[in-house]
Amino acid sequence: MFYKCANCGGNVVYNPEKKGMFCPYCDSPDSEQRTEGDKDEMVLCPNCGGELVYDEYTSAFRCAYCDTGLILTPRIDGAYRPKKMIPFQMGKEMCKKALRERFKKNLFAPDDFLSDVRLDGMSGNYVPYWLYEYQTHCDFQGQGRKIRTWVSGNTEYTETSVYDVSRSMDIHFDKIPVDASIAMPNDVMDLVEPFDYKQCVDFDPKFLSGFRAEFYNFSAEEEENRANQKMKASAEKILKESYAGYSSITTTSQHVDIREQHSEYALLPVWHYDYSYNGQDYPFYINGQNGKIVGEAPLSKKKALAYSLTAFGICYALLALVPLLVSFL
Amino acid sequence: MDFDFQKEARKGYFKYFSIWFLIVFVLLIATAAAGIRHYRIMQAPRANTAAPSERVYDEANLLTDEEEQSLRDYIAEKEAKYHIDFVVWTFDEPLSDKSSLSDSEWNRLIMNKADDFWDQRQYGYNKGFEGDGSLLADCRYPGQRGEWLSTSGSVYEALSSAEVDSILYDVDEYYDSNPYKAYKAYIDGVCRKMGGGVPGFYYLIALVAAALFTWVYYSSHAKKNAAANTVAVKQYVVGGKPANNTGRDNLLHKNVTKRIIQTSSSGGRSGGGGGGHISSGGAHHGGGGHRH
Repeated sequence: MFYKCANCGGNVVYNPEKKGMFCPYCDSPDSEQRTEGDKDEMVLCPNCGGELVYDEYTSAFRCAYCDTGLILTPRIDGAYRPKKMIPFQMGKEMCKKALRERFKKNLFAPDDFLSDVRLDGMSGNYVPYWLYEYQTHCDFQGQGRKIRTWVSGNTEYTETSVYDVSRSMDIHFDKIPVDASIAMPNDVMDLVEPFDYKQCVDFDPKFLSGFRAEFYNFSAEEEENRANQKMKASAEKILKESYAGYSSITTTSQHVDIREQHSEYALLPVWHYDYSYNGQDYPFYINGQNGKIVGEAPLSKKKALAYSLTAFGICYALLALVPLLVSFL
Repeated sequence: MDFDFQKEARKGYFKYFSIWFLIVFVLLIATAAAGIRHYRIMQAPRANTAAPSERVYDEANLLTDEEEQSLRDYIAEKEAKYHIDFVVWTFDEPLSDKSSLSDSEWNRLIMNKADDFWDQRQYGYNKGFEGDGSLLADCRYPGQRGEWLSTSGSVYEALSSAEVDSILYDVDEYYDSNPYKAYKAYIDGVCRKMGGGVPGFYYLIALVAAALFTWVYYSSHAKKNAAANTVAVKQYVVGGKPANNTGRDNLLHKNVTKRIIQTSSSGGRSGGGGGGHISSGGAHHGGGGHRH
C-alpha cells in the first residue's frame, strides 16, 4: 500500500516539519489517496513494478527503484496493528541541525562527519515498542540514623538518633517503554528515552509513509522482564527518596508487589545515522520526538595530531617569547 | 562539482587558529625588534668616563694581590657583558665611635657609608649619578662586621629586597672562610638576577607546561560526547507521585557523645631586608645588609 497524490500522482509522505501529509512533487498538502498493492506479501512495487527486497520484520520502507514509501498492510493489521504511536516531530533537516549543534565542539571529528552528503543517508524508523502499565504496592522497613554535631566551648557534641522507619505506597506506572526490535540495541534505546506521551496518538498508517517501520520482533511476554527491571529500579529509587533525610539507613525489608499489569503495542520515532570511518561503524540514534542524540563522535587521528601539535606550538611560542621580550625591554 | 572536504578542513583549521597565529606573529616581530635594539645597546661603549677605573678597594687587606687582580679581571669581563658597574670595598674602620650598635643603627650607618662611597666616585656604567651598577661594602671592624649591597640605576630597578637578601646569603657562605669567593658570589649573584636573558631551564619548564596544556586541550576536544540517561525517576509514574503514601518514623533511642577539642598554637618568623632609599647625595639606591 502507498499514498498517491490526487493532483500529480506522486508519492505523498508524512512531513514532520509541516505536521501533515505532503506531496514533495507538487507541494500539495493533504492530497493523499490510499492505493492498495498486493494484499499478501508485496513482491513488486505497486508504483514502478520493481522487485522489492525487505527484512523479516519490516512493515514500511522505500522502494529502491522509485523511492516510493511503501507500507506492508498485512504487517500492520490484526495482531500486528499498533495501538498507539508518536508521529515524527523532527524531520531530517531538524535532525541534521541537532547533530551539528551537539558535535560542533568535537574538533577532531573527520571532515565529512557532519556533511550533508553523509547526513542525507540517515533514515527515520518507527521502532516497535511494548508499553507496560503496572499497578504496584511498595513498602519499606528499616532503621535510620540521624547524626547531629555541634560545638560548645572546647567540646564537640555528637548526637545520634535511631529511628524505626517504614514506608508504604501505591505506585501506578504507565507506558514504561521497552523496544521490541532486534536491530535496535537495548542499551541505546534506553538512552533514547524519554518520549513525551502527550503527543501519542492512535495508530494511523499515514504517519508511516516515507519512513521505515518494523512490527514487533518479540512478544510482550518475552520483553516483560526488561520492563519489570525498569519498574523495580524506579520504585526502589522512589522509596529511597522518601527516606532521604537520614544520615544512614539499614534495610530490614523492601517489597515491590505487582497487583495489575497490562501492555500495549506502539511505534515510536527514532532517526538512525550510520557513519563509517577507517573501517569502523559509528551508529547514531536520535529521538524523533525531542532530538535527543545517542552516539559517540568519531575521532580523526590526523586531525587530532594537527590541531594538538599546533596548540602545543602556539603555547610554547607564547611561553618562550613573552619572557624573552620582557628581558630585552 | 564535488565538495572538497580537505580544502574546507584546511580553511577551518586556519580560521580556528587565525587569532593565535596573529598573536604569535606579532610577538615574534616585537621580540626580534626588541632583540635587535638590545643588541645595539649592548654594543654601545661605556658612557660614564668620570668614575675611576679601580673596582676593588681592599682596605681591610683580605685579598692577596693575585686575588685582587683576578677579581678586577672578572669584574671587567662581567661589566662588558652586562653593562653595569661592580665595586668591591673592604674596610676595617668603625662605622661609628659608639662601642655598641643596634642592628638598625648598623644598617643605617653601613648603608650611608656604601651609598656615599658610590656617589662620591660617580660610579655607574651609563652615568655618574644614579648610574647602573652595585657596590659590596664589607666592614671587618670587630663588633661591626657585616656586608652591605648597595644597588643603583637598573640594578636598583631589577632587584627586589628578597633578591638582594638571596645574594647576600651566597656571600655569607664564604664570608669568613674565603673572602675572594664571597665577592665573586656577589658578582655572580647580581649577574644572575640581572638576567642576561632567560635562564635555560625556563625553556624546559615551558616545554613541560606546553605539553601539559596540549594534553588538556586534546582531552577536552577528544571527548566522545556520549549521551546520558535523562529519564527522571518518576518519569512513568501516573500523576508524578505515588498514591496512598504513608510513612512512620518512630524514635527508638538517642545518645550524645562529647569530645574535647585539642588546640595548638603556632609561632611565625619574619624576615627583613633593605629597600629603596635616597642617599645623602640625593641619589636613589636600593640594597640590604647582613650583619655578622
